[in-house]
Amino acid sequence: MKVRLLAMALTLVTATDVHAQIRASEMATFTQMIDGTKISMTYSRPRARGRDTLFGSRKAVRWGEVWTPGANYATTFEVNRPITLDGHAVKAGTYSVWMVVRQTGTWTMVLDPKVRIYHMEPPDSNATQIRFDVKTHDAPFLDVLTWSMPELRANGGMLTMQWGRTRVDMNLDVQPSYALTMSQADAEPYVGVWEYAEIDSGKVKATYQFVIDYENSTLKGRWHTDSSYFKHFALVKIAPDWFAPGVYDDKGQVYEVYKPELVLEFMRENGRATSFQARDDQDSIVMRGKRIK
Amino acid sequence: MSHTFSRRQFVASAVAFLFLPRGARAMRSPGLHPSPRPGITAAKVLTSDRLDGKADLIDVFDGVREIPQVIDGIRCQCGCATSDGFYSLLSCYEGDKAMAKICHICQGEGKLAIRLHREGKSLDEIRAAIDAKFG
Repeated sequence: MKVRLLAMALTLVTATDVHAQIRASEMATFTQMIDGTKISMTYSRPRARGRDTLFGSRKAVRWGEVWTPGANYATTFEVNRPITLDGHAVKAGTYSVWMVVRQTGTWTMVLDPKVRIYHMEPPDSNATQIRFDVKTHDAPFLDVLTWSMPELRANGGMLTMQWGRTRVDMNLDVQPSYALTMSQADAEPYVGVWEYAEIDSGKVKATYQFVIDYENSTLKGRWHTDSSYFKHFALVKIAPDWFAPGVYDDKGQVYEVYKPELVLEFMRENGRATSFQARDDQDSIVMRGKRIK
Repeated sequence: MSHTFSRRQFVASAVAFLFLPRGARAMRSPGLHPSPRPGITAAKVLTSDRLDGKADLIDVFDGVREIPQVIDGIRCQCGCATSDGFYSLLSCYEGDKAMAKICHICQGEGKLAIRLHREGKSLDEIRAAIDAKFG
């Protein structure tokens, strides 16, 4: 009985210690959503702790080493939908992350479907892995190893690992949930000049002009508004005859598709769109329009 | 990659399944629209006297009450679909904790479904519209 009580007490003490343990490389999780794709990385974050040279050093990462960009158990990379990393297809799933670090030339990025591997036991090269070369860049000194996505686009971003004075960038692309382009034949029924009225609480306000044109394989809208945010936008088809405005950034890239807040529903006569109503997220009509040209 | 179920995982899954509400055990896959439950009624949908006199809310709750067999075939996109006891968009309109009392997505989906049903659209067409606008 005494032995059993002692064992229970030890178990409790151990559990408490684990919960509050101070680690040289504390755990972190980083998650980014992009157009419905969830990208997560879980890793322990080593600190430089006064080591000026981290790569090519016996005190940290040796040249030629297959290294997990983290510490303790291998860093994991998880995506809920297929993506591409630097153009290489990555299926939905969880992978352990490794890098073959070299003094000259490129490093090799390795995603291995086997996870929960301790950093001292890197996997051998095998057919299940996704492997590709990555370039390293000089960067301002960063004490704690950091995975991040410092640049985001509507359909991807830059996945970055940085530690010490070394940074590795990878271009990550997600599968877009929408298509910006359409054929001219599909676009033609909507192209033209329209007149629309804004409707507020059922009351019709002044009428304005709305132009829809077809440019670079994209259906685009321009309407009267004082807001530069909404002056010129892509009409993103979300369902037959339903479109949501896709708002452009200063580089001409769509960075937000404005749904469910504003959906334009077109009505056709003899195959040609002749009127539309725009509805908000409460299905209230906020605009009515008709073709004038 | 092969996955084997440990004994512990199997027991945990079986227990979780048994404790699901009976309706929630019906044909349902994550991300897919549920099948309307045979004989489903709007008996649990909140009535106007429990909606603090809010006309907009009363309209949508009343509209949902008219077509429970349609609303029960729609998966809500607001994130509540994985909550305990949730079966369909109809669940958002049921009971004192009805999510649709406060959630604009639940309300918007209900309003869209009611309108499209009145326009004669089928359940599949309504589901497609909900997914297009709110998915």
